[in-house]
Amino acid sequence: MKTFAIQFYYELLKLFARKRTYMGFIAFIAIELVILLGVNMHKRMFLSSMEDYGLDFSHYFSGPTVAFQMINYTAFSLGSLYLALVCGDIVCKEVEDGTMRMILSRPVGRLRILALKFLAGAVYSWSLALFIVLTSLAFGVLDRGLGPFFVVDPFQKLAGAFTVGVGLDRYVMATSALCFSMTTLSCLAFMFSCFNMKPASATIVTLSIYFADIILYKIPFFEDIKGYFLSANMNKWSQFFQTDIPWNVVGRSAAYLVAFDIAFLAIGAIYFARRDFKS
Amino acid sequence: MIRLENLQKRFGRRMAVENLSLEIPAGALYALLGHNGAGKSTTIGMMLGQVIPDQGRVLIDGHDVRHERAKALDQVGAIFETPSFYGYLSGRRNLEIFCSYGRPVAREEMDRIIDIVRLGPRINDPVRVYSHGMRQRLALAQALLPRPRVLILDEPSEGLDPEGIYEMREMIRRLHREFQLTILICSHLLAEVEQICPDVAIMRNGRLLFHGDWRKADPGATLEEFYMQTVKGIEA
Repeated sequence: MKTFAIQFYYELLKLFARKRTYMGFIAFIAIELVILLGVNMHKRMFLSSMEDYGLDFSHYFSGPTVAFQMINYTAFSLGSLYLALVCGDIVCKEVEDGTMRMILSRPVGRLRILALKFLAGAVYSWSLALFIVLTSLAFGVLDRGLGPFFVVDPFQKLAGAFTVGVGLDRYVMATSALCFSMTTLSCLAFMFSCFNMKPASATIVTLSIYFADIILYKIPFFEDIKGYFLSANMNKWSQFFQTDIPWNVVGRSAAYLVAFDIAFLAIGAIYFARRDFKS
Repeated sequence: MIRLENLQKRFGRRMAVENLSLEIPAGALYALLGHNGAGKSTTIGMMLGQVIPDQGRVLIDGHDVRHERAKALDQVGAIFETPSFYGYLSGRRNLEIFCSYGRPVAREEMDRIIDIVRLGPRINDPVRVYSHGMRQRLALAQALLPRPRVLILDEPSEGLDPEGIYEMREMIRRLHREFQLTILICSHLLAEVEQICPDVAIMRNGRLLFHGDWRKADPGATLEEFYMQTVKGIEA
C-alpha cells in the first residue's frame, strides 16, 4: 500500500508539474469572467424567468444564480476539451516519449501502471470540476453577494429557488455529481490513450465521440433513445437543483455512467495488457 | 542467469524472431549482434516483458518474465537506444520516479550511483537541458539503482561522440569488473563490441546464427570479419 501511495504521488507529480495541465484552469477563469459580464448585461432574461415563477428578482438574483449559469454553460462544453487533452495524453504520451518502455523495464505490472494513471487522470478531472464550481461561486458571490437564489435551464426542464442553506447543500451534491460525470469523459479519453495511437489522436477521437453524442442527443429523431446518450446522463448533475430531486432519474443516469466507465476502462486495460511496446 | 527458450515473435506477416534459444550465464559480458531489423530489440523487448512472445519464454534467474514479472525483473536494469525522461523534471526526480516502480532506494545509494555516472553537479537541473551523453549516463544511473544483477543495454553508445563512447565502454568494463554484473549489450557497432565482449550472439532476419566465444570459433579474425563470414556463410 505504501509503495502504491509513493507511486501515485509521483504520478501526480508528473501530471501536475506540466504547464499544459493548468491550461484548463486558466481558460475557465477567463470564460467565467466573460460570462459574468454577459449575465450582468442581460439581467432582463432572468427577470422574466423569475417573474414566470412568481419570484422577486431583487431577492433571488444572487451570486449562486450567476454561478449556476457559468457552470452550466462551461463545465462540459469547455471542460471536455481539457479532460480529453489531459486524460487522452496520460498513457500514450508516455508511450510516444519512450518513458513507458523505461517504466515497463521495472518490476511493476501493467495493470498497476494503468491504475496509477487512471487515478491521476481522475484526480485531474475532479480538481477541474471542483475548480469550476468554486471559482464560479466565488465570482458570482463577489459580483452579486450570497443570498437565496434561483436556477433555471429550459433545455433540462429545470427551475428551482433555494435559501442559502439548502442551496449550498444542493451545490455540494451537484458538484459531487459533476465530478462523477466528468470521470466518464476521462474514462473515454483514457481508453483511447491506452490504444496504439498518437496523443493528439486520442484527444481528437474522444472529442469527436463526445460532440457527436451531443449532436445526436439534440436531434428530435432520437428522442426515444435519448436516455442512452453519454451527454444526456452526464448532464444530470444539474437535476440536484430541482426543487424535488428526481432520485430515480439521477440514480438511473449514475448507473449508466458507471457502466460506461467500467466498459471504457476494461477495454483500455485489456488492450494495454496485450500490446507490444517497441521503439 | 538469462535463458531464452524457443522464443518466437511475428509482427503481421514478418517474422521478427524465430525459435530463438539462448543461455547467458551469470557474470557474462555478452553481446547481441545483427543488422537493423535482425530482431535484437524485439528479443530485448521480450526479455523485459515489453513485447509478448507468440511462443516460448524468457527466464531470468529462474523466473518467467511473463508470469512472474516482478520477481524476474527485480534484479534487472536496462537502458535503451534513445533514453527517455521527463524533460521538465530534474535528473534526480526522474531517478526517484523510475526507482519508485521497484525496490526502495536510499538517498545515499542514489547519490553514490549519481557519482559513479558523474552527474553530481547537474543532477538537479531539468533533463531537457542535458546533452545526449548526459541522458545516457542518467539512463545508466536509473538502470543501476535497483542494484541489478543483470544489465541489459540496448545500443548504449548510439549517438555518443568519441569521448562519450570511450566513457561508456570504460563504465561497462568497470561495472562488470567491480559489481560482477551479467551484462547483455545489444549493438551493431562491431568495433566497440570487440573491445568489450568475449561472447556474442549473432542474429539475422530473426534467426540466431551463432552464439558463444567468437575468438575461439575463429582465432585469427576480427569480430567484423567473423560476423561477415557467419552472415555470408548462411547466405551462401
